[in-house]
Amino acid sequence: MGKLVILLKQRSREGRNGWRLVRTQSRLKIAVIGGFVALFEAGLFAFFYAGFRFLDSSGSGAFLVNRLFSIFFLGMSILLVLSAATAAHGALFRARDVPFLLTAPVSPSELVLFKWFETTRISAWTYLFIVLPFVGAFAAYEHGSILFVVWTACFSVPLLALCGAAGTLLALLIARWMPRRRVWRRVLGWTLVAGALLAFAPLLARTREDPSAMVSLSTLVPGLRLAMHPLLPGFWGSEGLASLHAGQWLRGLLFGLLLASTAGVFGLLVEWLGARLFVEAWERSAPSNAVDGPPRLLGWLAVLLRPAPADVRALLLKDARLFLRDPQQWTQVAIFFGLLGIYFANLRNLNYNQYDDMWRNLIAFLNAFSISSVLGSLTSRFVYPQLSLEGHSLWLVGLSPASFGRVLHTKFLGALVAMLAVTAPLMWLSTTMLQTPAATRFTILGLTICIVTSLTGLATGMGAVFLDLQNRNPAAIVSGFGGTLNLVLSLLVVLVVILPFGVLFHLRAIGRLEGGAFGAWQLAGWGWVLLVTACATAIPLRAGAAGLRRRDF
Amino acid sequence: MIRIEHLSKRFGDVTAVEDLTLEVPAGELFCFLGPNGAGKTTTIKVLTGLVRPTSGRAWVGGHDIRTDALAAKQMTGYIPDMPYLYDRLTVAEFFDFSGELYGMPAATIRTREEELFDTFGLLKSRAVLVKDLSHGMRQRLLYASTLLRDPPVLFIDEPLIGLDPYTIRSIKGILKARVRQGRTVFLTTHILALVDEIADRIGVIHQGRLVALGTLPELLASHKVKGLEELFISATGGWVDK
Repeated sequence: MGKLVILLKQRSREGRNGWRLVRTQSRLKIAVIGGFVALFEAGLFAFFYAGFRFLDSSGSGAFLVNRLFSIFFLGMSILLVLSAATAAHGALFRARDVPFLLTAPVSPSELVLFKWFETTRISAWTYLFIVLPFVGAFAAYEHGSILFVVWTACFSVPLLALCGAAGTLLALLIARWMPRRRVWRRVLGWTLVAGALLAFAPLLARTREDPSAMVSLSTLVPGLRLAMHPLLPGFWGSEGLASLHAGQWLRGLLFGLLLASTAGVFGLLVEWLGARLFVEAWERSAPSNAVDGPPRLLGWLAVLLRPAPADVRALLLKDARLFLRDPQQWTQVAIFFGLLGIYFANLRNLNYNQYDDMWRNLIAFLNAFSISSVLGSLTSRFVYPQLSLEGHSLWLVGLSPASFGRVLHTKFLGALVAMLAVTAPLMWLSTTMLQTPAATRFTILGLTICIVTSLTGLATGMGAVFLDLQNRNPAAIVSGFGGTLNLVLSLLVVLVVILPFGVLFHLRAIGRLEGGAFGAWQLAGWGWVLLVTACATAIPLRAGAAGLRRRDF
Repeated sequence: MIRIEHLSKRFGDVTAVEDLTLEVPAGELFCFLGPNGAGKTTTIKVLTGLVRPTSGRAWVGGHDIRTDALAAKQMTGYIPDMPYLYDRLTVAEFFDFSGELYGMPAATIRTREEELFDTFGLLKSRAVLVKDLSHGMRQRLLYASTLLRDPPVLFIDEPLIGLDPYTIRSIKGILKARVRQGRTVFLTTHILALVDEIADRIGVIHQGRLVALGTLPELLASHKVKGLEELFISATGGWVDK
C-alpha cells in the first residue's frame, strides 16, 4: 500500500499545481466559467425546487417527493457506474502514465486501486454538480437544516466509491474478456441486445390503454419499484438520508455503514481482480494488438463519398477512421444518445401519449431541448477540438493544395451530416411516440435541423478561431476559454431557438393563440430561427477561416 | 545480469521476437541493433515488464520477469524513446516522486539531487512545470530521475534523441562510467557511430531473430566487412558492395 500512498501524493501535487495554473489564467476566462457554473447551479436549484413545489401541489405531497428522492439516487447510481466505467477504461488502458508505472515496482493491484481512486475523483465532479442543487432544493422544500447537506456529503463518499469500484470492475472485465475479433464482438453485442429486449419484453407487451393503470403509483412514477429495492445502494443512500432527516439516527447510521462496508468490499474486489486480470487486460487492449481490418462502415462511407472531390473525400475518411478507432469517443456518443433513445422509445409505456395536448406539447419541446443540450455538449467535446487535435500533423493538411477554408468547410459538413443522422431520427421518434400533431412534429424537426447546423457551425468555427496545436488532450482543449465560450453560446442558441416556438405552441395548446395570429407568429418565429442559424453558422466559420489564413504554423 | 532463453513474443499473427536467447553479464554495455520493426523495442518492453512474453523466459538481476516481476523492476531503470512525464509536476517534484516510488529515503534523494541536477543542467529548472520543458530538457530530467536510483541494469531505447552535443557527451561518459563500476547497460539505437564508440558487445536483430552477436572485431571478421554500416546491412540481408 506504500506505493499507493506515493501515487496519491503525486496526484495531489499535480492537483495543487493545476490550481496554481488556474490562477494564472485570464480573469475574464475565470469569470466566464465561474459565472456560468454559478448560473447553472442556481438554475438547477430553482428548477428542482419548483419541481418539488409542483409535485406537492398535485395532492400526493411529501410521499411522492420522498419517493422521487429514491428514484434520483437510483438514476445517479446507474449514471455513476456507467461514467466510472468509461473513465476507468481511459485511466487504465489509455492513460499515458500506465506504461511508466508498469516499468516501476508498482504491483498491478496497487496500480488498479490508484486508478479506481482517480476514476472516482473524476466521476465525483459530475455527481456534485447535480446532487448539490437537488439536495439543496429538497432541504429548502423541507425547511431542513444545513445538516442535511452534511449528511448528503457523508453518504456521497461511500456511494461514489462504490459506483467507482463497480465501474472500474466493469472496465477491467470488459477489457479482459471482450473478444478481439470483430465478428465475435458483433455476436456478443447482438446477444446483449436480445437479452435486454427479452428482459424488458413484459413491460413492452403490457397494455397501456387501460386508464385505470394511471391510478397506480408505480405506473405514475416509473422506476419506483426498482428504486425502492432494498438491495440497491441508491436505496441505502436515499433511505439513510431520509432517516437522518427524520431524526431516526440509528436507522440512518445503519444505512451509512451498509454503504461504507459494501464500498469496502468492492474495493477489495478491485484489488483482487486487478492483481489477476489487469496485465492481460492491458495487453489485449493495446492498439497495436488490433486483429481486424477496417470496419465495413468505412467501406460504405468510401462508396458514398465517391462523387465528392478527392481532397474532401480523403479528409472525411481520415476523420471517420480516427473517430471509429477511438472507442472512448464513440462510446460517449452512444451512451448519451442511447439513453435518450431508450427514454423516447418508452414514452408510450409511460403513458405520455395519453396526456392532453398541452402536456404532450410541453414534453415534446422539453425533449427537443434535452436532445439539443446533449448535442451542444457533444459538439463542444468532439467538433470544437477537431482542428486543434490535428496538432503538429496540421502541416500535412496545410501544405496540401486544399485551402484552409476548404478544410474548415469539409469538417463542418462532415460533422453536420453525422450529427443530423443521429439527432433527426431521435427527434422524430420522440414526437412520434408522443403522437403529437403533424404540425408540431415537422416544426420540431425543422428546429432540429437549424439547431444542428448552428451548433456544428459554431463549434467548427470557434475551434478554428481558438486553435490550440500544443495540447494533445481534447478535454484540456475544450476546457479553455474558447471551448467554454462555445459551450455557453451553444446553450444560448438552443434556448433562443426552442423557447419561442415552445411558448408559441403552448399558448396555442391552452387556447390563448388561435388561427391567423398563430400563423403570423410562426412566420416571425421562423424568420428569427433562420437568422440565428445563419449568424451562428456563417460568422464563426468565416472568422475561423480568416484566422487560419492569417496564422503562422 | 540479463539472461534471456528462447524468448518469443507474438501479437496476433505477427511475430515480433522469435526464439531469442541472449546473456548480458554485469559490467557490459550491450548495443542492440536492427532495422525499424525488427523487434528491438519489443525485446526491451518484455524485459522491463511492459509486455509479457508469449513463450520463453528471462531474468533481470537474477529475478524472473514473470514470477518475480517487482524484484526485477526494482533493479531496472528504463529510458524509453518517447517518455511520459507528468505534465503538472515540477522538475523537482517529478525527481522526488521517482525516488519515492522506488523506496528511496528522502535524505538520499536530496543528496543526489544536487549532483544529478548539476550534471544534467537542471539546477535552474527545479520549479518549472514539466509541461513547459522542451523535449531535450524532458530527456535530461528522465536521465536524472532514472540514474537517481543507480539501477544495476539500465535499458535505454534510443538514448540520444533530442539531446544537445554537451548532454550527449555527458551521457556517453556516464554510461561508460557505469559499466566500469559493474553496472549493465542494454541499449537500442540507430546511431552506428555511438555503437562504434561505446559498445562492448553488439547484437543485431532482424525480423524478430538474432542474426549476429559478438564484439565488433569478431563480427567484422565473421561477416568479412570493414565497418559497422556494412556489418548491419550484411547481417540484415542487404547487399554489400565488396
